[in-house]
Amino acid sequence: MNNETKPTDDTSAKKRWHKPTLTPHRIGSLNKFGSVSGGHYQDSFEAISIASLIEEYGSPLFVLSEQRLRNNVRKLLRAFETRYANVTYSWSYKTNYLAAVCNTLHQEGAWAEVVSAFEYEKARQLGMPAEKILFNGPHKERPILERVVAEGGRIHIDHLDELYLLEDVAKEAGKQVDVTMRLNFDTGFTEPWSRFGFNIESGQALDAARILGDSKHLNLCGLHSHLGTFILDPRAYGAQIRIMCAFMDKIELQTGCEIESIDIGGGFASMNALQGTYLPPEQVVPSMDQYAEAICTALNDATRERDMQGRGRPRLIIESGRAVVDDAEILVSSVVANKRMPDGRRSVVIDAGVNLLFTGFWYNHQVTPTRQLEGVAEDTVLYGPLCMNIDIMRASVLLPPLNVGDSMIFSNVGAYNNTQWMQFIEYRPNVVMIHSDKQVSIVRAAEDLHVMTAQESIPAHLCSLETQQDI
Amino acid sequence: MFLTPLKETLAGLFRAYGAILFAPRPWIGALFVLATFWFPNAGFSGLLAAMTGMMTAKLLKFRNLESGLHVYNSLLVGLSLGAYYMLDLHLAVLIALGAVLAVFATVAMADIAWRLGRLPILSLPFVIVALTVTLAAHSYGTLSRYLLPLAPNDGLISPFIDQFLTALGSAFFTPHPVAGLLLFLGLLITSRYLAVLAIAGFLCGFSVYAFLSGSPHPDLVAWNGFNFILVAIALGGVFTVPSLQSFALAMVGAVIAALVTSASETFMLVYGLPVMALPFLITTLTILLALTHRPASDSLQLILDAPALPEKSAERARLAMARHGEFNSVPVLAPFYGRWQVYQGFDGAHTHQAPWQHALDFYIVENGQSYHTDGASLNDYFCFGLPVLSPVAGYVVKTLDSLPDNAPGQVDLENNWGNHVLIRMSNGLCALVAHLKQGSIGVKAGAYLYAGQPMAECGSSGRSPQPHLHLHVQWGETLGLATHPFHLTTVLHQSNDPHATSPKQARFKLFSRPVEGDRITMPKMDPILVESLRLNVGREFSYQVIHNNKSANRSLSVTLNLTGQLRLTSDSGASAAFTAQDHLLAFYDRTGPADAFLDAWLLALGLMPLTDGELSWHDQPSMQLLPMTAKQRWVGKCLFPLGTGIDSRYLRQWDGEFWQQSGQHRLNFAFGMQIHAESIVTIEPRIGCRSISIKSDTGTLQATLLEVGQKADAGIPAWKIKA
Repeated sequence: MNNETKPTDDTSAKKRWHKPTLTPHRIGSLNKFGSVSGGHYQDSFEAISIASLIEEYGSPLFVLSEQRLRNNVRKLLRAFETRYANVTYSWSYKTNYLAAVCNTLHQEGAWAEVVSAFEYEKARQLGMPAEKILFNGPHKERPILERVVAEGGRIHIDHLDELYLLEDVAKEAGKQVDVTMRLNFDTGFTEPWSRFGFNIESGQALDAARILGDSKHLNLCGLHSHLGTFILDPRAYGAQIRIMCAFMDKIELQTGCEIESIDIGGGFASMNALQGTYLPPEQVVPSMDQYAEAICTALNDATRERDMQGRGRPRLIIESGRAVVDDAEILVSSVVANKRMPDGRRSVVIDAGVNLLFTGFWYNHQVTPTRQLEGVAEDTVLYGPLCMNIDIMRASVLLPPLNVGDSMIFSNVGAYNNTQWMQFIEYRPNVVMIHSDKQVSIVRAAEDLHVMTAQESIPAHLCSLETQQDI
Repeated sequence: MFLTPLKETLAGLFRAYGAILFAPRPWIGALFVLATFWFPNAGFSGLLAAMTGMMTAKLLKFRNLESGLHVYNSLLVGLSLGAYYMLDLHLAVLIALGAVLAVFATVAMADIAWRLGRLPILSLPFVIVALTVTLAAHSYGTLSRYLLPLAPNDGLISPFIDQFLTALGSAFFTPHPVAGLLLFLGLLITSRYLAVLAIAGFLCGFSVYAFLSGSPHPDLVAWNGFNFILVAIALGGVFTVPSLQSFALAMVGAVIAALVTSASETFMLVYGLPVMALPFLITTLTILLALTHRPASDSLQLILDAPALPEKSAERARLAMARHGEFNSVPVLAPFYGRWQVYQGFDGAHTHQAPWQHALDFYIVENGQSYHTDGASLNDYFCFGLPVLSPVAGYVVKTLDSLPDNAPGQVDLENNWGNHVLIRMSNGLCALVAHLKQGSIGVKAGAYLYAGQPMAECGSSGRSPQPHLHLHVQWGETLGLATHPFHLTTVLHQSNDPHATSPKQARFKLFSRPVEGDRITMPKMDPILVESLRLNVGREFSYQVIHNNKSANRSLSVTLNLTGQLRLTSDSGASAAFTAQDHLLAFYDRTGPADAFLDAWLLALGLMPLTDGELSWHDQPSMQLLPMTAKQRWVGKCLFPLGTGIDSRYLRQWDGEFWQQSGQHRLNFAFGMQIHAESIVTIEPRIGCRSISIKSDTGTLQATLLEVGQKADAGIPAWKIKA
């Protein structure tokens, strides 16, 4: 972003008019970080001007950068592959399953990590071979399990009922199915996510491994766990690896299984400011190298014996979604109206709300104007377009005065927005992707009335707006 | 019931006859027996001695019976006596005694010679025993001289050719062109190259012999000329790998043999003794012993350990060279994980100058930069602090990890190599990994490292302006000694050369010596593929094979021989050796009868990297594996008498259920003639090679797996799975 954010410098010969403002003096408005968002603007993204994008594709608008996506996944792979012998990256579909995003990552060698029948079907439709799809999550029904078993996808078992169901499916298919077991445990660093998988401390995981060891149709060959999300301390992953490898050694000895892969899930933080975090992300978010160092050092140590015996080190699977896609997408939005609140605060109504930016509920996204704004920055509330009280994009952000029609960029919006956004009140806008050669294409077209109503059907007696006589 | 031992005994007897001219096949030996009976007196004497020798060795349970070494020395003693004395009871007793003595002499001397630089004993025991017995015979009045019924007009083809054939015949003490012709035919069938050597050696030896002596007595040439032939065969065809140099050596040997022959004749005449094979032995053994004191080189490779027919040793050497790339270069593994770029290659402009010209520097570059942000701090550099692996197996000789890492742009000229680990390999050479990070070395001097063991971190100590890794192989255990050529093995090599056929695509290589800018990736082993292609001892596969519309059930099994060599053996008796290590399965040394099915397997699966992902590689298997018509095979044998490699390119990918491996095989004959074949293999996870299909101009072969099984071993039951 360095090349795109220009410092304030007045080059125009004639001073521009700007709105007069009244700035009340408030105690405490000075802080040790200074005035954070003063004077920066960004008028282009990946060398394409924002104004031209809005002109062509409308506002609001999601803009993806293919090159950033590729760079991010390459950075991740380099960090891990230069530290460990056998690394596989698997794209977490739920983070952003736009086909263009998935395929960009698949082209870079990413597998697919899916958590529902829909995501599995989407991955298959995109051409992903089943054996490169990790089927995760607590909800897998018989029909989809039958398909995955037939196609040879990799199933991660979440609970005992699923184990029994899968055993039955495999038996019926007359197949030996390789499965991975999802685990949960306490690393001491994070709140354990005990709702997924089998618990190690209680002995539940060992019981399940023994059941799998005795099973004629299921063959335990992988372990998986996911610590949580936005994990800021890489040591948590070191602890995770040690616990998983100890468990691996134990069950290999006790059940005779051979573990071929260790899946550590994701949860790497991205450069976004989590609400309630005191320090800015630049200071608290570890680099990919720091995560890789903690994980690979622990894994190399824990698997040294195997390597010496020539058995090869297990495959390390990483499912980081957020850290790969978040900064590869921005949301461009335009000012609809300015308003002064009764308490004196300034508010701005913009055309993108929490219907589009679901992560606005827990992040303070960076807001950057697209032109150099004149005037004094003032504490401002950004409201979305919804006719709902909760639609607040930023409760407090320092911004100079804006004109109607001015645009702004919400950044680091790649993760979880294009999947968790709601069809609510408004049509969802275009999503475009800027390719490496600076060509732009629409990767998801804006919705219209036809799209909104396509799934609906109206019973015959409700077709007319007139009430039928006999009701 | 008696048939089998009788057959074995006969085969052993025939092999002993064949061994005199290095022909291994018993029926060729039988042909030689026939040749000796041109003069029945000598023929019977030889047979008697051979049988006595054989019985003696058997009764005394001397090992190494099948090589026929004991027998052929006895046999020669018998032949020599039969050539000079009439076979009667007295001579028979003398022959029997000589044969027994020859067995003892052979066993005793073979061992001494082997310890003396792995020399073969050849027929030295025979010469000593024969001379002893002949000297003794001088004082026995009971023996009567036998004169060979040589007629002066016994012309067969032309005087010179007759002379050659007669000389060849006298190797068996039957100096007659007809016997010689039989022997030559046997030699020709055994090996065309040996036959050529025999003729050329005789020409060289005879010309010098004649040139120096003016007009040599024809009898002397007839009796002793075989020495030139044997020297040429042994030096150029059996104990060295065929090459121009070894051919020249053979001719030099033949010429020297001419000198030694004249000398021996003069000396032996005093005592009234025949020269026999003495010049051959003196010349050959002296030259071979001297050659063992010479550094190994690719142009003249001595193979005292595994003497073989030239066609075979040439094929072994060719395949080894095609796969290892360069003779004498030391294979090492990439000392890192992931993909690194070569900063400086061999003979690099910066520091890789003689005597340290064999060295590789690695670092990591992305988009033309080796660092992120501004590169002002060491931590900005991509490779700084990354794990460094041991490139070889060996003992740690020396480590240093106390030097600080230089700030970017600075160098420490006092401590050139910086922090380092020096590892001594079993071949005596040492591998040096240098410029390591301060305090990162996790191994101590004296520790044994396996190849690929993480041992330190990449740093920037010593003469290192930016973090990078230096690797070389050197002569001794002192830092900074001269370097030795080495290469990276089992790596993915991505060439930076824009003219390369596919610069973007990484290729799996057994011999990789990257140049500046090339990228090297350590491949990932695929455990499932390893398991699928696991060839444990006793594993059996049965296939349905449809070859040119004829169907048959065939089987392959894995055997382990006494020397510890694993072999894949077909039910036809044909087999090939293989090695399965370092993420690789490689077949070599195909022996035995013709077998289109085994050949198909070897062509399609001859070299298998057991690594993950879509992969392409190159190999040069023997041309014998390529399906050809009889005519093409004949042309091939004429064009490439010592065999040649097929240009085989392989590509393997996963298709969802199986690995699909396709191969394109091309053999270029001269004049634009080309033989082409295509192989497709499917490999099923945990089952193995499910099907092989070969399509070529001459037909098709389709093999489908029926059953996989394991032979029972004591205490381990057998098992079988239907495919």
